[in-house]
Amino acid sequence: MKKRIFALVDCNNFYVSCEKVFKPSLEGQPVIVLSNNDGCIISRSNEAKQLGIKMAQPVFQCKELIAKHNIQIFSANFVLYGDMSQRVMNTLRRFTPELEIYSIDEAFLSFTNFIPKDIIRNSKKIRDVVKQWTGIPISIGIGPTKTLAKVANKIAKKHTEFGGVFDITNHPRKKELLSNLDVIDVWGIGRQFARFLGKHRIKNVLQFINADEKWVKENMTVGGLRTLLELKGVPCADIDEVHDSSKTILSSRTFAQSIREVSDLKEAIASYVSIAAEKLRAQKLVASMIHVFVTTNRFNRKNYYSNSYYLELSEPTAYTPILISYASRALDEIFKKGYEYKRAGVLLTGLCPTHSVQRSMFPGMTSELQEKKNRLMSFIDRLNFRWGRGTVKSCAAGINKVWDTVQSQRSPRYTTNWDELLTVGF
Amino acid sequence: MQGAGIADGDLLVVDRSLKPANDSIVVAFLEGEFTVKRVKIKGKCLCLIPENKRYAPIEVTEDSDFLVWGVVVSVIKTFN
Repeated sequence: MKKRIFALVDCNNFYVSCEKVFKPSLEGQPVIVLSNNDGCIISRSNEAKQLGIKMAQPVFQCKELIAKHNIQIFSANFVLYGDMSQRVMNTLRRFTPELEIYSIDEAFLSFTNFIPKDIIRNSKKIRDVVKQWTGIPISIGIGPTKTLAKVANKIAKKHTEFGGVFDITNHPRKKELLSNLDVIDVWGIGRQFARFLGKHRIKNVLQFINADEKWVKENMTVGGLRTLLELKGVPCADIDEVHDSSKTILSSRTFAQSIREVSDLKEAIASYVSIAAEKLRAQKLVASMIHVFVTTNRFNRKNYYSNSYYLELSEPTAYTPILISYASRALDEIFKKGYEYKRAGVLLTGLCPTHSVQRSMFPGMTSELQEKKNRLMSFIDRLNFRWGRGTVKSCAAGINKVWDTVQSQRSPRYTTNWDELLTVGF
Repeated sequence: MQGAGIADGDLLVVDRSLKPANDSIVVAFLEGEFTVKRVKIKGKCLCLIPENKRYAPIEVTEDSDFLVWGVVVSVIKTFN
């Protein structure tokens, strides 16, 4: 078999880069993007990174820095980011038929059919085309395995001298660069494994590559061994074109203002269930379990409460009203009066394809009724797709929404909304 | 941009994948603002020509804070 060549394309500071496309004056300035409800920092321009702003840092912790350096702030605009992501992915698809969308800003590509000596030149071309067509800067890491492609991408980002493209295969500086990379930076090595390795004086990637395979398998399970083999250049995973990211579906938010009443909390939960169920149906899946969680402000230690509860459904379903009634029962189990709730969410698990569902021994509904419910859901989904989420919704999800999210500094949805297009002067 | 048939309130269709050629109409980002202009390329020199004769052509130098954002391929007009 032909030797595999993998590339990992990663969009640089993706959310900030999306904002910059439509506001080029942000170039060279410190810019940050905040999570839903403007809570935490989820994307930073290089200038903001240099000022010491950390990823996932709560924004109130850096108020002084923001004021002092006039850091530009944006609320998350996921409609815009999602659309820009699709544009980047569609552009990448022109260069290789084998592409795995790994996250909103990352994709694995197969370069196996590229001529090895042309790889760097082709990668630079891809980088230029994506930049010109979408405005988004990307970095490309190349290697004989997916894990090495990810490592190469880290190096491409860290060392500007490579011009955003780095091929680790047979690179003369490979050992030196790997010895300067912490094990925590490797895909598949979490904080726990990193701490464990640190105790055994394995701190950088080169040291880990030289570790004993048997020892790694015994102490870090098969997953750790796979990571090690991949780092040694033995491919253990291929391009996964239908990426199965959906083992679970999560829908949760931080509230704009704290909630005390169970009725408000139920509305919020019902609305999150509706979103999760819509995602479920879009992937032609049904859920067999529903988890509900609530939490108060974690920075208020005195009056802190956090709890979760799950229920198994009598039959796997994607029918919103049934899921809402289960979620409501689960919430009753964990709700306590006297707390100021700040966040809640639902998690759907035990997902399986609609067609492979085992019917329960005492099915709750006839197949005719089932068919009716399916048609209702798909009709609602189409309406909401056409006219915007929430056009048709369950009454349980509430009308007033005291808990709705704040997005005080969201930029226009330039690419998806006629009323928010970019305007230009003469 | 009356000369190019572009009026206030029109909708521009912009293709970012195109490189501007001589006489292209472009959306440019110049000195902190988006603007639509016609491009004249003379050798290495790039000029932005406002179609409205009352305004003077703008010569773009290396020091200019300037970016061609995309090439305008169509204009859509709305009546009423």
